[in-house]
Amino acid sequence: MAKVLIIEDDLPYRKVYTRKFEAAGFTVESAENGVIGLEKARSFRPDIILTDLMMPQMDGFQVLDALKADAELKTTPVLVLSNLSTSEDAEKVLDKGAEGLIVKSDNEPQVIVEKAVEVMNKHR
Amino acid sequence: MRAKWVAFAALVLIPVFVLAGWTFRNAYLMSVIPGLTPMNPLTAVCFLSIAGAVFALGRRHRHATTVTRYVGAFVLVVGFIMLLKYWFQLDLHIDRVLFSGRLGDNRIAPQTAFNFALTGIALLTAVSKRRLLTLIPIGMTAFISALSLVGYAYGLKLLFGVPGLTPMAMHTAFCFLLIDVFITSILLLQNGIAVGRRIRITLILTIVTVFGFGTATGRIVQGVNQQQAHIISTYQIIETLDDVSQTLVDAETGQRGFLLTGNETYLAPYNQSAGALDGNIASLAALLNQDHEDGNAITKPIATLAHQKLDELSQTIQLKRAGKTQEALSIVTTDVGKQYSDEIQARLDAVEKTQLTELNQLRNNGEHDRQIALWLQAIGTALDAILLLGAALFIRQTLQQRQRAQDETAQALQTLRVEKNKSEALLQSIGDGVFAIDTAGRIVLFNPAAEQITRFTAADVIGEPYNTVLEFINDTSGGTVNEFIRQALAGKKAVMAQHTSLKCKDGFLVPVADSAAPIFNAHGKVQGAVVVFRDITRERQLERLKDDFVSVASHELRTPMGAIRAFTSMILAGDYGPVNKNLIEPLTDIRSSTLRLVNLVNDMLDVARIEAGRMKLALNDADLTALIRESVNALVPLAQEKKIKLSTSARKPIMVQADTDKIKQVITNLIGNALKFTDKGSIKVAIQPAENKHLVEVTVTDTGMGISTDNQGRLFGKFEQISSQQAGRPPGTGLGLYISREIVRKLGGDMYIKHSAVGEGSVFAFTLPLARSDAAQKAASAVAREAGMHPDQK
Repeated sequence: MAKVLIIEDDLPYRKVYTRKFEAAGFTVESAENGVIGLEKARSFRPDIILTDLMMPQMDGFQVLDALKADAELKTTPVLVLSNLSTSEDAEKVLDKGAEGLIVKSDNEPQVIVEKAVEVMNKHR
Repeated sequence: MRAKWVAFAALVLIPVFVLAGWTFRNAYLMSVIPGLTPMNPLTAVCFLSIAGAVFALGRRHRHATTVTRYVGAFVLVVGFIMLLKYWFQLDLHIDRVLFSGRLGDNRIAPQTAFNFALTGIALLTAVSKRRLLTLIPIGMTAFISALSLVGYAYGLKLLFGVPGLTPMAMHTAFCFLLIDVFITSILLLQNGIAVGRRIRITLILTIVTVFGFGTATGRIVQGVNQQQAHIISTYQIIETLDDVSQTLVDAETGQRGFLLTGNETYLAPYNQSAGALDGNIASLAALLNQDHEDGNAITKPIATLAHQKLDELSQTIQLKRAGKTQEALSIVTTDVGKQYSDEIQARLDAVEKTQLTELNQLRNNGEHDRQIALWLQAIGTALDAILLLGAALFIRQTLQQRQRAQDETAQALQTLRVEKNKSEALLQSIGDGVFAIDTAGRIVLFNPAAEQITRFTAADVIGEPYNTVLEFINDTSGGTVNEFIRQALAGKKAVMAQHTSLKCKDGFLVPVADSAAPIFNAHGKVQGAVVVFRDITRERQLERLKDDFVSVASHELRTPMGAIRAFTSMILAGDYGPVNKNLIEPLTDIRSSTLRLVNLVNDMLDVARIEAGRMKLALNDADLTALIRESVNALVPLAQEKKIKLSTSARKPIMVQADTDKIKQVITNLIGNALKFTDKGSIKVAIQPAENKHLVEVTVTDTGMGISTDNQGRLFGKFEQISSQQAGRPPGTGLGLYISREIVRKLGGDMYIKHSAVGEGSVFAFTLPLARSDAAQKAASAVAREAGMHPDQK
């Protein structure tokens, strides 16, 4: 069973994505900010990490930087979920090694799951 | 200058000498030439006082006006009182107060009195407001005085005196002329009248006229006088002729008396006549000689005949004395004597006749000459008056011109002062930094705002070349962009340097909006440049804030909306267990409303970006056919749901310059609209060449409801929706077409309704520049320029 880590400060999204991924057969761990997310990434060893961008304490960009700086985690694919949608933001996350940026409000949870599966398959 | 002083000395010395002359009874001092009319002592005093006034006026003494007024009044009164004597025989004897014991019959002449009255008026006018009127009395005085001098030159008393009255003294006339010249020159000088050619010529003509006509008149009067003398001599000749004939008659009468009576006493007339005859004939000869005739030639035969007659008379007298009375009578009766007498008389008559003819002619000539003299005087005076009036007018004109020029200059100066004060106040108080440089680039002005922004003081930078102190730096390149100042110095107006920062004191950078403009002088030559710059730190912060606000607001709105959307979708998908049938419809409505809200936020974010000029466009050469096929394929399922045939005829690759994501958004928007308003039929997307050869046109043709002409115009406006609420069509945001058109316009194309009619469907079209075309280059540089305007946004 594939493992997904969802780093998301907004509780409704955490709940809805957790439910969706669980329904899709994933083992789900979630974290409400980047700091906890990084800890859980180390302990949980997910197959894919979904992270929000705007979060307290440590934002998504910093999470990405930290993950890519971690020798053991740098190969784990990361999908960024955000409601920031400018082309600059998209470019920036790709620069930092993410697989892509998905605008949460514009995409159904089902689309996100499909995208996550697609990314994981690419990395397998 | 020297001439002026000599003339002034003359004006003072002449009256002084005259007074000395009266004191020491010296005829030379009183009348220049003994025998000529002396100057009256009061006249001398008047001249001295006038000299004083003229001196004060000329030196612009602070009491000049007062002195001139007193002197003017004094002289006017003297002249007036003297004129009273001549006009109304009201003699107050004021000219006989000084040296009363020595004056004899000396009085102030009527011309002198008149001149003093005029000079008094002239002096009073000279210090009044209408000082130019002074020229009129001055001119009159000058004319009278000049005539007098002409009179003296030709010995014509009529010109300097009135018969029976004291004539004007020669040096009096001279003094008047001097005074006239002085007052005129002072007048002209003090009015700053540069005596122009017109005025000079007119004045010279006046003088020439005065002397010319005066001389001509003088000559004619002189001729008349000579004729007068001629007439007198003619009369004398006629008288002498009578004398001669009377002498002979007397001699004969005496002889006859003696012959008849023998009484010797009867011989007395004979003896007297015989003695006088030669004398009479001699004086006749002399008179005739005087009359330019050969007196001797005329008188010689008369004398011979007269002597023959006298001999005949003497012979008879001798015979009678000898007692030969009969013989004596016989001689008488021979009529020899009568023959002599008749011949003499005939000759005398001939002479008299000539003389009478001459006399007649002289009288006629004299009358004629007098007439001419009168006319000459009249014409001379009239011409003189006209010329003087002309001079006065010219002077007046010059004065007015000068006054106008002065007024204009004063006004210009005033305006300049006001403008200067205004601009200074403006420069001091303006919030923009302003500095000005001369053509060499040295700073000549540095206002307080410039000091505040740059932290340099004016004292630090004035006189320094601007580029050693101030450096304008391009925010993106970091290079110096002082070029715009150089352009201004080259005469190019208002060159705007964009997105620059100013390197201030200690290297501190301040973002500024700046512009430079050349300063031109009145001749259109560049005198320097003025550079205006504004500290836009705050504007930049505000912009950033505004930008942040839009993105933050959209982010914060999308977060809950996205959650609602996710929940409703999952509930409907059964992720939370089976859904009560009654709830499916409201849940679907919640979902579509949420979607609408999400779209609205997205569109508004786009509009905000477009209007702030922050729509980021990534220009690439892309295959338009591929983009269209991709967009069409994505929407085919939706079309199939409505049983509408969605297709594209595009096959061959066509390279355009575009932002692929944005173009997909545009195509999707157009197809989406077509789907929304089409219930049956088809939607076709096609590519064809545009009218402009640099562009390519994409059309989206539907068989939908169509748009009325009225509505077509408003369709591209913001929040414009046509009947989208009717017939249960999915509501849009009303921003799609606006955003789409803005996108293609920024890409160098345009969007328009190619054709649409109610019930016939619509053809929407947009154009895009072909890759590497001119239009593409233009669009690329426009996009780059807009991107450059916000270099702070990374």
